[in-house]
Amino acid sequence: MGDRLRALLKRNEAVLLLVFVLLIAFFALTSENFLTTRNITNVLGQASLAMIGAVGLGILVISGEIDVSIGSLVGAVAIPLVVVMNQTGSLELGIICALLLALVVGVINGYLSAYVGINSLIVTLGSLFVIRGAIYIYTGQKAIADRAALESFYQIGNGRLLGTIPYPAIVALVILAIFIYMMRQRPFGRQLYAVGGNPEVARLAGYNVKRTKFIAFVLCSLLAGISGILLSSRLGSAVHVSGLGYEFQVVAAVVLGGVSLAGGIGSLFGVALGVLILSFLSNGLGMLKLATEWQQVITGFIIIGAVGLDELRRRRR
Amino acid sequence: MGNLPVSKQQMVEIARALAHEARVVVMDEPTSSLTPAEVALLFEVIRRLTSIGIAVLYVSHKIDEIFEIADTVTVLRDGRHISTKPIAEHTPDSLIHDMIGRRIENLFPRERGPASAETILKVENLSTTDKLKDVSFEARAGEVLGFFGLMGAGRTELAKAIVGFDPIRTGRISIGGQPLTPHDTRTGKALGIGLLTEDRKSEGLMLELPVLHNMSLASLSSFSSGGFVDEGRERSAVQEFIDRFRVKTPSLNRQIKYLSGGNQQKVLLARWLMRGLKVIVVDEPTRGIDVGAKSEIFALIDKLAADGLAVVMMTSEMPELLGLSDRIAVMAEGRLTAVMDRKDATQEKVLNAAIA
Repeated sequence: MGDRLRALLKRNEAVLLLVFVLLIAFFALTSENFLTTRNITNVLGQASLAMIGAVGLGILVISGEIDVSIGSLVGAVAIPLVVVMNQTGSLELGIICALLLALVVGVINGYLSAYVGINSLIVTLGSLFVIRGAIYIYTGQKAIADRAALESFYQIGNGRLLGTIPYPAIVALVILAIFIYMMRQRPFGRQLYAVGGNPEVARLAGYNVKRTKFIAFVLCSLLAGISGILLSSRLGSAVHVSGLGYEFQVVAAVVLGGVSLAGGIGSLFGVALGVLILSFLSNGLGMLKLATEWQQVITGFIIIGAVGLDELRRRRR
Repeated sequence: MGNLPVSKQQMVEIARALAHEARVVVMDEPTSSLTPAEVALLFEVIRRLTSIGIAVLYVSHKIDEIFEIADTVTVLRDGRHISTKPIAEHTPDSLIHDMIGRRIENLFPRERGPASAETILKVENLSTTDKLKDVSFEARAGEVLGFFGLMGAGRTELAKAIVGFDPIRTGRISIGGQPLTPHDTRTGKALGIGLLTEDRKSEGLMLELPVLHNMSLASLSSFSSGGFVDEGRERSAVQEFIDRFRVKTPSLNRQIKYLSGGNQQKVLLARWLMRGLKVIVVDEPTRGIDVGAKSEIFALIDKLAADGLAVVMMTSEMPELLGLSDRIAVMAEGRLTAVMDRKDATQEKVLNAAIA
């Protein structure tokens, strides 16, 4: 049993959990409005958008690839969503079209990276610009208003279960649970670790490395798409600048969560903690009336510090 | 410098050491990628170094080399100093005894019966763009088919091509009568052929992952029910192989990088056997493994053949080749130059075919 406890403490997730608890305790003591149901549920609602994207990116990074175009995609899916809703009055059709766009982007990113073999940072950096540029061209740098004004559209991003838990948080939790289970228990999840850890090993063991990575790209884009749909609902329109910088927030959470950019290492539970830590950090610092500039500086130091410490700990072993 | 063959690079390094007026030259496994002729040349250089008063610290696991070149031999085991004696006080047996801490009765135990007549693996006119030229052979159930060749003869290339890992240009490969098409490892695995790679670190192991996940990698689908990996079944299957192969590990969750080379090799062998194969291709199965674990690997290979697998063994170690094989194939420059029965093979015949 002592052995198990020691093994647990060696794990990155345990350290993150500790950091998270300390963070909550610190803000709870320093700011009286922090530990209120309203505030906590608000933060969870905001965090869930990053959470959904981080699950997708986490999977992809574990498979040894990266996608920095997700911020642009988050902004882009709102366009078919709102346009289709405006024309048909159907939320379902809008969502289907938004997810189709995400699917197409995922397929293209995945095809170019996994099958053609272009470095995924370059491919998706390219898509980041292409998609954002296309958004600006299509919208003429203006937001597209939601004229259908469907109550259901408003509810998916802003509604709360029993008046407390935001729907996006529930969506994020369900997605997180499904994918944690997949990564641990499905052969596909285990393949992702193998492919990211060492593609040659995975291929020699009889797995199709390219296809596995391709699927990871598609999943990552679809999850970013879901995140974009919820964001659009919160904004009540398709905003041409929405999702700007989203990719950095998500990459930060993923690496803070202990996922190695080299692939093969990390867990979605860690990723979830990474998202929560960054979200509560920004909320708590805001409550301390710290200027956003300083919040950014502190966040930056925390990311470097946490990942650096983890690296040192790994090396010592 | 990078364009020079390894043997010439070594000579340059030795010359550089002398230029720095070295009194002691340390050589770490210097012959691992040399041809026999180059080894002879290296030994000549070593004798000249010692004759002018330079000490040579020669690190090797090859026993015959030690007897040929050493004056005094020091044995290390598990990071400890075991013995230091003049070579004249050693016999090969006493040296092995010091190296592994016990006596090995017979390095190559043979418990299996004769091979069956059934052909499992058939390779016809196989060529690749860079190395292999028109290679054809068959392997039968229950036999060990040993492939010998010097560095660069194409053994590893052949191993990787016949399991579907590397692409081929022309030729046909069939396993149990089924053609290996499409030519990839997924099909290979489905037909029952797998490769134990010579390069454990970069092609075999997931170093950061536990023994459990390393061993079960190739057979995840067989532990799955309804699409989910049944961890209980996975663990019990892995435990069974750990016991059967006597893998030394504190637990199934131990990261595999902490295991010794011999234990890592057993885990990789188990990765395929757990899946159930018809043909296993083993490429330099005892590279980087101590003598004690070697004898265990040899016994396992013998057992695999006894269980009806066709074992295709690529090796550059003559004792291993002659000790384990039922038949011997020799390669030179990407071609198959000879295939002979073990009983007709001698070291001389094999080497002649390898140089041809």
